[in-house]
Amino acid sequence: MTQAEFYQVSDAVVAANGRGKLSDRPEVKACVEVRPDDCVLQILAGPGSGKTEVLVWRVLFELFVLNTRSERLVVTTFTKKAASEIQVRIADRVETFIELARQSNLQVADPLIHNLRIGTIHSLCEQFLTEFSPQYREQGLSLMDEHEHRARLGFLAGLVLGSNRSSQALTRLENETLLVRLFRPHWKRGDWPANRFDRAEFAMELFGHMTETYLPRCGNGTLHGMASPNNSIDSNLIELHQRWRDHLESKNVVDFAGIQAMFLQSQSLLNGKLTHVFVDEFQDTNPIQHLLHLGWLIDAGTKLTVVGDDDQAIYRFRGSDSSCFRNLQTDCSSLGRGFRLEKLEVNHRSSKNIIEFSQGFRTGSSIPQASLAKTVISPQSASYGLPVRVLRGTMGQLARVVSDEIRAMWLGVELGDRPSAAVLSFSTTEKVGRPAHAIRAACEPDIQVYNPRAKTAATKGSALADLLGVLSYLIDPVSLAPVGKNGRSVMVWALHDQHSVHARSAPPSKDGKPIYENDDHIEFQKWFRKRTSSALITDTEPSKQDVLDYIDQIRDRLYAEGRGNTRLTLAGLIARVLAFPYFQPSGFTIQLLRQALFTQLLEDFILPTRQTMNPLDSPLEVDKLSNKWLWAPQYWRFLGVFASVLKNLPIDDTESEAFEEGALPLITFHQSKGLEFDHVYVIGGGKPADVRPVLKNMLFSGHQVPLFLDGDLTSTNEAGVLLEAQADVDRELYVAISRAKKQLTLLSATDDTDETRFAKEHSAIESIVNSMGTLQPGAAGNPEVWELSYE
Amino acid sequence: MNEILAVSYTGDLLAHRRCPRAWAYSKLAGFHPYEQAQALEGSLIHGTMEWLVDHYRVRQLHPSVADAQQYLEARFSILWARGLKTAFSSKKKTIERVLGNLYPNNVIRPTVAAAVEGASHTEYELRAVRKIVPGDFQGKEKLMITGILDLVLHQRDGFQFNRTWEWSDLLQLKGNGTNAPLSAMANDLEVWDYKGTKADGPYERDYVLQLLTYARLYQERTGILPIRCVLFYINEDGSGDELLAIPIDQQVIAAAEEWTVQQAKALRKTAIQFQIDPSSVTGGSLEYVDPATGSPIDPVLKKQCTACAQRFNCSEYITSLGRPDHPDVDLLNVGKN
Repeated sequence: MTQAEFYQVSDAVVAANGRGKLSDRPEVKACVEVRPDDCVLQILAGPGSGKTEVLVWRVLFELFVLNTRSERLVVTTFTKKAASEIQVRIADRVETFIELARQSNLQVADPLIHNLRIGTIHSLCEQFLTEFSPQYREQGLSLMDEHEHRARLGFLAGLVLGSNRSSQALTRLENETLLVRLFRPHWKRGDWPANRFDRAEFAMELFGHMTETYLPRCGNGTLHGMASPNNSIDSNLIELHQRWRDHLESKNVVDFAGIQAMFLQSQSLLNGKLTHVFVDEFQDTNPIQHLLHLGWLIDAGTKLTVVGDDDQAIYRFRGSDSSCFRNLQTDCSSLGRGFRLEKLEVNHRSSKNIIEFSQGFRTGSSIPQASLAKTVISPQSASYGLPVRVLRGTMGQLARVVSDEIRAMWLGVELGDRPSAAVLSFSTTEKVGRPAHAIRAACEPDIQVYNPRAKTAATKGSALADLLGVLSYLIDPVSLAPVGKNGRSVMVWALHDQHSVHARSAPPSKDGKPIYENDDHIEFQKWFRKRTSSALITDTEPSKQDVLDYIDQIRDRLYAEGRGNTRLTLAGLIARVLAFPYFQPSGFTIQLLRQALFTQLLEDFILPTRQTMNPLDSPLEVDKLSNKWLWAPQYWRFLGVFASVLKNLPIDDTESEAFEEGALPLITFHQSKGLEFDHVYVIGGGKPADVRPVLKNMLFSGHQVPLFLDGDLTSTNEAGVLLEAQADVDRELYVAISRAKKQLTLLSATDDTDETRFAKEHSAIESIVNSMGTLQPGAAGNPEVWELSYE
Repeated sequence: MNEILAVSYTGDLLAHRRCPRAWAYSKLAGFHPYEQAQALEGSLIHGTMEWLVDHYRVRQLHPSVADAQQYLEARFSILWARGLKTAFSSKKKTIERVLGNLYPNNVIRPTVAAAVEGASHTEYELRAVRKIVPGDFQGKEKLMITGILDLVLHQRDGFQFNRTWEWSDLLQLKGNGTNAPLSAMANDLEVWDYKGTKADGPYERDYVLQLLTYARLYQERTGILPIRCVLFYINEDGSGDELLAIPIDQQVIAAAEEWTVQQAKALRKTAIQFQIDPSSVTGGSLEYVDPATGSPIDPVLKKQCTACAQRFNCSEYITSLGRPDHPDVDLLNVGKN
């Protein structure tokens, strides 16, 4: 197909999708056309500029004009969701393209788009290794996700990493002041790491930086910034990292960081196999991914197209480094490869008011000093639309305004006809007093709120916590034992008395040591069983007592049937408990089902226990000795793991599109990336600037780390670091406000509490308000409203 | 909100037709206890067929039964490690069963050999997008159907099919498999789908319509209309019933596609209903109703219901059992999972 024919059909396709012709927009054509001398094309694309659409058309140009075989094209994205969206978009465009081409009597062959290699960089690395590396295939490795990674580290850290071994490498690192200052989360006070999950998070982050930043930037050199009085960080870290990699290899698993490192070693196997690699969201690339993408260029026949916007680089906390994006031209020059830069600066998403406001914000923020030069403009035909609003009031007042407006827009309107809306906040944890809690309280019950980062799944009274309480009762029922002569009694459970009760309540392992993980689960059992916090454990609500009676009967039956005669498994019992009257009325509601998605959660977190020869999917069996129930070790381990997870980790609801529909999304700035809504409410200005992600990046890149402790906070005097840290915060807010299509409302909480600290106004917005806002005094009890219009 | 309704043919449309309740709990709420057990054998068969085709392409001969067994054992271990479990009692029995179907009496089954020799594509992925009326699909503007054609083949030497699909009511898309023979000519283009069930089961019509829809999507993608579709019931013995030939014409594939869109519409309705009130979604096949009991649970589905974690409060299943205190739904029965 000729280039002219391609544009003839593509213009018709985009018109069918309600978009402007490609051929009328020179800046778009420059991005779509793959020119003979193209080697690296960097597309700098502002918000709403249609970068995904442009990327899709550049792929189609390869397929239809250059007749490139689809399996020679690679498209990488940042998330599985984005990969799936690109797959859908390509399928949609190709289908219409073929249909319209045939209507115009143009011959097009099936481009076999299912052979396109589309995915996250991790999934593609695995796919390539499986396809091209016999060694990898023979190893039979499987890629583990973040949950399994955390669980393995949490439950094996002591064993594998030496916190309880003679070398104690992890413990020594935990005692390094420099690392504690850089890695301790700001909300953690006192001793840190305090438990296995703190330790797991710490180790996960360290290993991530080691693989993704240190290895590509320092190779096997030293970490200069880590020189400490005893000069031990380098050696401990390197030893620890190696030990962890050996452990994973021995278990035939590999983590996300590791799969990239493995692929980097084998990348040359793909020489001659690929024609063009497309990278979306390139601004969020980390150093190892950057090296990997530059690695494509070693093959002279491979082209690279990257799309992104460094104004929207918001993943430094995960190890991304937007300097990879900014320095690409220099890197290409060093490699002697051709480079072309194109810009997409027309925002087709937002109204003129919103664009002018967001650009006003950008100008007043730190972003321009830390990013590539660019402008974002409206199409000539765009209208100003509704004014941007800034609402100031207490969080409760602001939440009521939002809920009233959503009700007015949505109630009585068919799902498909409703304008889209979302509330965006830096943090959407729904702890009482937090902004997200206020929004849900004001909206429900008539407006459902969808907040997968609510972190309420394991809190007291949640169905998941109740379920653990029931399982704890099954395995380790707390009883009352008399004490003394005055009728007093105490609660007794398996671990309660280490020396007497414990030894009788469950079989010890072969070496005679206790097999318990912990007794964290007892707290959940108490929550479930006690009518009030001060009540006796035997004083239970009748509806809950029915469940407990049922559990008693099940336990008795299992015992009566005897070993080898039962078939009921733990998962089977859980299904029955959820069908039970206590859970059913509240249970089979959306709330429970969202929480009951824990089946996935459970799978992830109990995985390490699968190394046992007694998996949890074998039939339940119980024995009895002197009135104590005897369970096999795997059940104690299960209780320990499950309870530790629920007690120590703020658990997100599993993201499920099923419950998103018809609900008001209450999502984080980061979650909003790539989305757009007609109406956007943004709560506050985000977190205070945090220099630590910048410093961590410097540390693992081999630079000296200039920090000092300012009270509890880690700080620095380096102007460059301070600028980058402030720009990170500004970029997050810039991403949030640029999601709005028709109306943008900024909510600024005037409550002065620790819980509303993220809901305060950003200084750049405050200065816009002060310079050009029109104050509209609020009615009694209502927030003050600033309307900012650029007409 | 995502404007596209993405549905997989087997994972969504067929599963939903079999039991909307089980589909919704599995797909929308994450309760999927028994599906993975079934998936292992299917994955083994599909993986092995793909391996057989690759092997033949490279060497122009079929692997020995010993090689096939070795492959199956390695494949089984990989799938097991990835969390796919077997419904049968042991690895040995599962492998024996699959091997027995592909290599009865230690020799490659003639049907399998013919398919492998004529194969031009295995696991041909189809993905098609249709515009839909948002009002009919609760706000969704596009429907994306995904499916995988197990095999695209050109007959090498001609072939005689013993069973053929015949339409009794084309308007209602009703028909059934008959013993009428059908002769395939050399070079005939066919699309095949493997099924792990026995021939002539209650879902045969669904499978026929699925495959006809695939043929339509294949034509759309390649511009070529296959001569016929073929269902390969891999668990049938080699007496000739294992293959069902389905003749194709433009009219029937267009009607099958429209039927598929209607199934997607019903599925979307269930999804919305589930989000509003999960317990209101009823169980049982969308088409089958037992005249005697009024239960929508057909005999094949009933076997799955007995392993379904949601059966304890499924009124349709309890009705099909005939009494509410049946051991299968007795909450205290520890002799069953």
